[in-house]
Amino acid sequence: MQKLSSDAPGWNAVRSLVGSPFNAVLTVIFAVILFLALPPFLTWAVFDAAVFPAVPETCRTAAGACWSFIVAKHSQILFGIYPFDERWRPLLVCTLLIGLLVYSIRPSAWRARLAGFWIVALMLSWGLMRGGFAGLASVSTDNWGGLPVTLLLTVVAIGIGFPTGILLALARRSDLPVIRLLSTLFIELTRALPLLSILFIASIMLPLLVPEDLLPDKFSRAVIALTMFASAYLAEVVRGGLQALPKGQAEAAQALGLSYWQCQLKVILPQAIAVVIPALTNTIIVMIKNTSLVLVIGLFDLISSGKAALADPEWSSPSVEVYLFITAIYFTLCFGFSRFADRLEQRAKGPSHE
Amino acid sequence: MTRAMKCISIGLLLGTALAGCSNGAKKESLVEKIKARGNLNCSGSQGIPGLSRPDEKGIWRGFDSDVCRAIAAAILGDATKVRFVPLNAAQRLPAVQTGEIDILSRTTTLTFTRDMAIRFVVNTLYDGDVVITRKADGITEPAKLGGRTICMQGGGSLVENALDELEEKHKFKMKRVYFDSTITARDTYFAGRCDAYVTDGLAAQSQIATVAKNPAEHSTMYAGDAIEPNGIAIPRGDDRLFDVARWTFNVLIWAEKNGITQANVDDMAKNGDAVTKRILGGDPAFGRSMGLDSKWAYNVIKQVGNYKEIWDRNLGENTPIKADRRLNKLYSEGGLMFPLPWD
Repeated sequence: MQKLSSDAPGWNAVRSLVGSPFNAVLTVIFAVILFLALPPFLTWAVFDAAVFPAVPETCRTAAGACWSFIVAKHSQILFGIYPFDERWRPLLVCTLLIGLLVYSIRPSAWRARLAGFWIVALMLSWGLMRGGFAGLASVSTDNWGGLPVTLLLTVVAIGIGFPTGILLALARRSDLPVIRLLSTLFIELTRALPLLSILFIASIMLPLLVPEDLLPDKFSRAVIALTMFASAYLAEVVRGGLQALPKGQAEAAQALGLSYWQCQLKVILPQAIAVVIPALTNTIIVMIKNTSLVLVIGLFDLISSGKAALADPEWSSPSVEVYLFITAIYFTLCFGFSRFADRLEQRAKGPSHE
Repeated sequence: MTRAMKCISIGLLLGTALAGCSNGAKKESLVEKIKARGNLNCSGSQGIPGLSRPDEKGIWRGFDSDVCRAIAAAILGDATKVRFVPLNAAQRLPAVQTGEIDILSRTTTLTFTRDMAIRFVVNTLYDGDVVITRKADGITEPAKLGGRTICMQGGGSLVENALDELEEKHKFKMKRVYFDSTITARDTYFAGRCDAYVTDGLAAQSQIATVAKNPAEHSTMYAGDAIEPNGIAIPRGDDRLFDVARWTFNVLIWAEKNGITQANVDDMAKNGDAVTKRILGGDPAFGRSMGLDSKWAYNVIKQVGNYKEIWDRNLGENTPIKADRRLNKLYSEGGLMFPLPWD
């Protein structure tokens, strides 16, 4: 695979499909599976599928997939129980967050001000969702739902968790014993608990222990729990990168007279993080999917909203279609992110190859 | 190392808990808090057809949700002033204990253990567990369920009891497959994964009618003879809120018994008999003992309707649910519902 043949461009593909007996057998097996699975799936999902009109009767008579349910309920699945007349707000928030994500992928956008953009965007998103100013009706976090919840949870948990994780990683390698101990304590404690139990503690136990007035709402508690969890895991990934660097790097930076923070920010971290990009991507993609666990504490994320939509007694229950729709959204998010990470990796490699 | 840390953290948590207990001084009734706050915090679910589910517009629909609205109408004079907090089955009791919600109205069966944790006020719905099976399988009575796979929602105490009794009585075992929600259990059964599906009796017919590809292929039977009394519940130790919740529900039953509806309540308030006039706002002192406005009962009927109207709107013949009212009929029609006297 490494040595490109000078033959016709299709040759490579042909060789990887049937180049060796093993490959040939695999190709045949998968061709048979595809041949058996694809036509029925396409018949169900496309040819026999019912889309319009988006009313319950369409579904009842459909031989294949009932996409009209998605058409009729897309607003409920995407935005959950957010008040109907105000749904332009979560729509705007989603557009803003996804737009900024796409913008952030371009390497030319990676400047210090990007962090500023994100902070402004997050504050704006929170404000828009929350309302209660400038004539916007106030919508409590109990009524947030669907895609904006998934996006906000992900972006906040990773956006705050990543810098916190870096600090924790540095603290764990620090020469100051108290800081080292505290960081180790936090990381080990958080990692020792499953995310589910952290969420349960945040949603069910904390209210029993903390007075009502001092307690943040359920959504904020979930955000804090997810952020803690993300930061502990990211910290260990970053620490892996820090340990991979030869000691000479830090010593050379010190010899040049750089302060501790200059040394970390300009010499150590850029290299350490570049090393662990695949592991970071892994952790972050897991975190994107972890946000769906908030359904156990009664937040209306995408999956909960989809289920609530399925509870409509007027409709037959096309749960497969709904879950496929949600799967597509998660796939887009996770796959998009892994492409982004790929680019980061290419770029991080770039200069060393020159 | 981590074990030591766990011990420390548990110690800290316990310490906080004790501190929390000690400052529980004299407390005002939630009724006053609800008035000051301007809305009632009531339980939502994650979507239960006919009882509580958010519709496309994010508005909560269902019998349980309307009971919340009735109580809001009584306390605040406005049935729309309800904040629904979505809760799953595991969270509903802690949510009452912690004050996250004021009223629990979300298909919760009154049992001894639960009543020791929170205070049940009144039974709003009587239900039983129904088993749905395919006619082709020939499972015509519970005795033929031996060795069959049963899809069900996890965590329902009475369903478990009913099935346990069946197993003991007929000396067989069933394979129980648990799901996190009725919706998932239902869809799994109708997709052919299980031989039977246990669900609330009220919802059974509608699920067959709307979800099954061919409704005629399925039949229903009761799992046992147990009644599941679903009620509303509040935190313990709040007599005032107990009064309001119990007597608001009584208004619903009383109004049905006396033929008072949303449509004729204005007329009845003017031209009804003496008791009717008194209850519908004619007596300025009527709500005073509960700290409510004299028009509280009128507001409940005017804005939400009587029991039958709530039933018909959410579960009745004109809804996809088409539930049989059975035990929930008035006593005079063979059911278990009757109004308490207003004397």
